[in-house]
Amino acid sequence: MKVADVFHVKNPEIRALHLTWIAFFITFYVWFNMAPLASSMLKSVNWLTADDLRLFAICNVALTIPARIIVGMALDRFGPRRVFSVLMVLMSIPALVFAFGNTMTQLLVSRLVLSSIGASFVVGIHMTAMWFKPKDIGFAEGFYAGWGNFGSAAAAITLPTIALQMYGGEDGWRWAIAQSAIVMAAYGVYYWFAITDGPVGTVHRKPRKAVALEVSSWGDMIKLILWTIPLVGVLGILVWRIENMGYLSATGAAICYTMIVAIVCYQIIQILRVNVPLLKQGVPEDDKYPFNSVAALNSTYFANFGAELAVVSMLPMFFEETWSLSATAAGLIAASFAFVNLVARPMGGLVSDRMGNRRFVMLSYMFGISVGFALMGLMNSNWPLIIAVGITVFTSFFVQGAEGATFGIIPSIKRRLTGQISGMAGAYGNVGAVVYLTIFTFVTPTQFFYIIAGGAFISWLLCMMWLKEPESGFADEYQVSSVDLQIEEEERRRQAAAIS
Amino acid sequence: MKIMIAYDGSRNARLALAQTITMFRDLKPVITLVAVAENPRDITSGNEDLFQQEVADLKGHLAEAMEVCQQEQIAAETMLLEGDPRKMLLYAAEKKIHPEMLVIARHSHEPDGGFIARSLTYFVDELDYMTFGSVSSFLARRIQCPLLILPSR
Repeated sequence: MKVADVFHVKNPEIRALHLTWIAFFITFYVWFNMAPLASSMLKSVNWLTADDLRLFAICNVALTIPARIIVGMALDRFGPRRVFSVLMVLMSIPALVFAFGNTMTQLLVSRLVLSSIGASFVVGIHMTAMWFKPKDIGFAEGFYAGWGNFGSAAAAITLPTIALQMYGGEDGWRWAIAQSAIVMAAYGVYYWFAITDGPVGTVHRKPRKAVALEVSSWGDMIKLILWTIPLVGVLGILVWRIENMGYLSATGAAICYTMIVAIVCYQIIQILRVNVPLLKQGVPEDDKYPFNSVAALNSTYFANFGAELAVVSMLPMFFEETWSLSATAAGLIAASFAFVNLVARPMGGLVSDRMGNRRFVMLSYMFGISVGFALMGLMNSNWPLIIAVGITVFTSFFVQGAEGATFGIIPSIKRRLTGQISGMAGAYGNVGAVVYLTIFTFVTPTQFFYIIAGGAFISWLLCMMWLKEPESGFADEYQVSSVDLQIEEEERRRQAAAIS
Repeated sequence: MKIMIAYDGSRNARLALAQTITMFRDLKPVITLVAVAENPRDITSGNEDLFQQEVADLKGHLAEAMEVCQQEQIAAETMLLEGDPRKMLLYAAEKKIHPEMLVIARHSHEPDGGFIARSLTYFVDELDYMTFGSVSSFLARRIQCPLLILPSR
């Protein structure tokens, strides 16, 4: 597949790609429709404080992880088309509630619920996978992710203008947010009728019930448990922060903590149930894979996508306050961070494919991120604005390229488990966002940039130690591993049983 | 004379096989046809069926090529690998087959479409040359045996 093929809209798979990235784009647009309007909100709603807005920013990424789990189950049952449509229509409700909310509780709860929209990424990736040949899939998914992510930039560019110029007045921001929600609901309905799950005639195959990731050794299982705890456990930070700011009673907090602990325990039990029998049998040599690579990639996505989500939520205000710009101008400049998505993310995947040494590409990108954010930490109002914008673009180029590079390695760790591994890494992006945004409520923007730079540097160290260049399977005859053969055998038996 | 051919069933690869047979028939070659199934760069498991389809196609292509060799009375064997084609071809040549010559057909990227499409394709190809994108250039720099690159016509 050549890059130029994206213009052949007549091809059904290209059409599907465009329909799907636009859907993803709209969900991202709605997901990040608050940050560019933050200052307008402060002006028009007199009881809001900057701290409240920081809290909303955390809420905005909080429930994405649980939503991913639910959406994953729904995908297996109903297929991506229905899930995407329903998600878009459903999520327009909290967006509308947020637009016209008048109390703290309304705003807080609607933002929390709205954060589920971040799970849309997974749905579109599934849709893309059903349409494209294995050869072209890397490019297609990179294109989808890059252009869809651009939705956050589009929101930053257009929303202030829509709010101030088109609607204007006290409630301009409310109508701007409401408009994005209505467009999303309408597109959700359109998407239902415009697309099919894969080319006509594709049978939606229900994957093997996978409740937890399989690992290859006892040590890896311990690591997996350790890496699973933060996935839901990170919500504890959020509860603690909300309680601290006085929006949650001690009893309410206790209930939330109990629920979080229960979910974490449930996940750990699932890991044990899946892996203990397997490990007791012994994992065949040809089916082993290093969990350390998965851990390293979790950390890279934490440090790049997490940083991106966090920075996108605070950048407009940072520019506005540091250089005392208008809301519209600040939105435009902050958008430069996400603008780069159009090129950088697909390019990250491309470079990773082309260089032949994926590990080296990943390491270079992570190093670039830490340098970039360290430079952003040095910025202050004495700097010429143009230089600041240049550094912002430079940093985002590395941040998004690293996202592409992360997902360039994931498919080659262990093919049978790719879906679960990428799910875990993707969720770590949100863990990163929650952690970073929580830290942000305590520090100044300058310190915040240094902290993100530090995070990227730690991730770089972890990659140095743990990330292995993925090996390809090799056998005289193309051969799936013995476990894959077993799975096929089970499948055949089941079908035979169904027939008789 | 042991000859390894990188074979993917495309028109260029078929031509390369025919040419190789014509050129080296008198040297009593033993031809090894190597195909590589590229790992899907997919981050879900939704693409597995399409990948299996591709593997089946490649097997079919190799079987056809074997028949051609039998008709021409040339000794031949096939090998199907999985992974990154550049690395796997190198690996097969260096570690497994030790051919006296490797034959690959260069793919032609004839840009088509309008101005934008052409310049995009051109840019990506340029990136390929700057790194070592294409299979032929990757192997040309690394392979330790004589290498014959047959241009597409």
